Amino acid sequence: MVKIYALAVLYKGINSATLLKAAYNLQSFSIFQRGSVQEFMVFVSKTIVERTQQASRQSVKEGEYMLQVYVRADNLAAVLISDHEYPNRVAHTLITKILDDFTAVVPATQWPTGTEDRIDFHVLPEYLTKYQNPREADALTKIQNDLDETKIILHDTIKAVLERGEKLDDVVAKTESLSMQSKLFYKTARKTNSCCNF
Amino acid sequence: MDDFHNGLVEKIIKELDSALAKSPLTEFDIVPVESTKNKTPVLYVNSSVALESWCVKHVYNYCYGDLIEDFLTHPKRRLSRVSGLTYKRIMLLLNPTLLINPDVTTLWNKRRELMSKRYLDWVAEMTFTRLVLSRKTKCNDAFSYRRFVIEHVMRETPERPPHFVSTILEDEFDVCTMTADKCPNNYHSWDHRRWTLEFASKYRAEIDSTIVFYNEYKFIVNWTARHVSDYSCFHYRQHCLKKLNLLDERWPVFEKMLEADLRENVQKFIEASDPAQKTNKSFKKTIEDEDIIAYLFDYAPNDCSCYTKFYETCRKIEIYIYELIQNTDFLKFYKYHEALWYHRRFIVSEILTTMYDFFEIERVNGKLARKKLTPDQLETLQKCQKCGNRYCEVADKELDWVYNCPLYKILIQHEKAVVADRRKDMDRHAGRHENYLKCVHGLAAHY
Repeated sequence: MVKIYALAVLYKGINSATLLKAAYNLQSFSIFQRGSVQEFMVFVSKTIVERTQQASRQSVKEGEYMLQVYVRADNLAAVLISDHEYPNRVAHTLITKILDDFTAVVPATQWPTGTEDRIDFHVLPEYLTKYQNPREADALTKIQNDLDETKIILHDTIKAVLERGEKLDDVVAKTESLSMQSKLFYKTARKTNSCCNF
Repeated sequence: MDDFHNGLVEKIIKELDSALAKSPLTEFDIVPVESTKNKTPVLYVNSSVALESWCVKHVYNYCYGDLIEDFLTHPKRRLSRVSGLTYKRIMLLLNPTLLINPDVTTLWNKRRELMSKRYLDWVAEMTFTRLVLSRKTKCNDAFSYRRFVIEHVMRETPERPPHFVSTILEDEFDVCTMTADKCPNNYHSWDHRRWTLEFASKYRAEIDSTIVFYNEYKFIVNWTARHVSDYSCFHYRQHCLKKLNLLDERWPVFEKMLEADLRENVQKFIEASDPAQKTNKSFKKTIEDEDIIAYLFDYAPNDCSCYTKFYETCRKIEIYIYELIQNTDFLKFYKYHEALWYHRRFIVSEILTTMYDFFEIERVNGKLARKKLTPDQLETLQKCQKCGNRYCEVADKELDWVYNCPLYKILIQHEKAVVADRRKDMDRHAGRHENYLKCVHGLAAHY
């Protein structure tokens, strides 16, 4: 499937990343799981932004999902969660464009302290729908060439992104940003190896 | 299990039963919850039903055990038989068991028995299987039960109201779309869709099957554009292609649906492959099919009365070239997807077959041979002098002669260009495609 599940703009602080704005497409998940899936996507986005260096791009493959992340030199970051058929190059062009738009609308002073409700940036849901078809975004690719300047680092599993000795299970268990329900959901999904990012 | 649990489970399954009676239900799920607080584990939100995971084990063990013990191990015992007295109890136990674990054929067979003894309402059965499939999207037993129910209903209702068949079709297509969307590479779902298509052609007296096939083709073209690595849906696409009614007078409507000018497509294809081959005529709508055939096959069948054959061949070439161009486009855009390459194999092979067919030859054991015609076919051929002549002409020449027709040359030119282009991009499937053409189709000498 060529599909985008989530688009998110984040700020990479000194110790942790904060979510500034996000949009989701969770239609294919059951209504009872959507809440947990969404919580999980936020959690994963944060985790991955925290572990990505400034001014770099990464594509991380995990199961049937792809995570595309771009952290700019000024610490503003964007994450796109899609499936593995969505072309990487197009995804990165798209998140570059989102960050440019975001910078134009939201002043940099708001980034470190902003929260989802206070940030005034409403085009993400529209982008999410429009660029479900990567051909729409392909028109962008032709204009933007700066993509070539930074190399996209490809990872085959999220393990490669975590620090040495760190395990995703532990990260999940430790975090306070996931509810009990979602942690349980993660455990079950892990066991049956389906319908979850990891 | 102790009495306390038994009582609890009885309560839960009764509650689930009343939740299932609500309509319309679309989804069933099991929600992971650990605590056993003193509240009901049956959840009901927006036409979706769910069970909390802690109770699943108890419910399943209890229901399955009871079913097997009371109704399945002693089929001869009077109380185990399906009757007006027992069927309610059986259903009460069957529903939760199948929702939790639908991969037990024995239980589905029990349902079949109930269905054929007319204890069940088929509409409710369709809703129930949809619920099962919303959670287990690859459950073949559920799909096959749906087929059983539909066949049963068709037998039972010989006099059907006007929209009866089309409603069934819509419902089946809808279920297939839902299951295919939830789970990639869902073979069972596409298989069921294929069955539905066959069902549509079986009852073509009651529906407009031509339009159904056109719609399905349109649907699958859009779908494959967004599922480029799912070969199951490409297989269905091939099935749809073969089902297209090429001779229907509503073909222009179909072209409009595709938003493509197929004729112009062919012309562009010829010009792009080999500028030297540039046609001096343009293939506008006004040009007769015969002229196109004459150009592509290098054979001028003027004043031939076998119009249908030209018409059909022409439509085939048009649609397959449309497929080929789209496939090339996808290969370049999405890159490295094996499913796309396999679909390409199908297209190329169909174009070649069309070509062979036109010249009344076929490939047997890797060699070209004249088609063995039945006396009837031979007679029809000879009725038309031109066709008869062509058949004889082909027979007189070396069979390899077909590889000199412009269509073949253009096709190979195009394949070479695509393979070379993909090779540059390090696509390892490109070389395999070339080998496929050379070895499987025996084109090495003419490549």
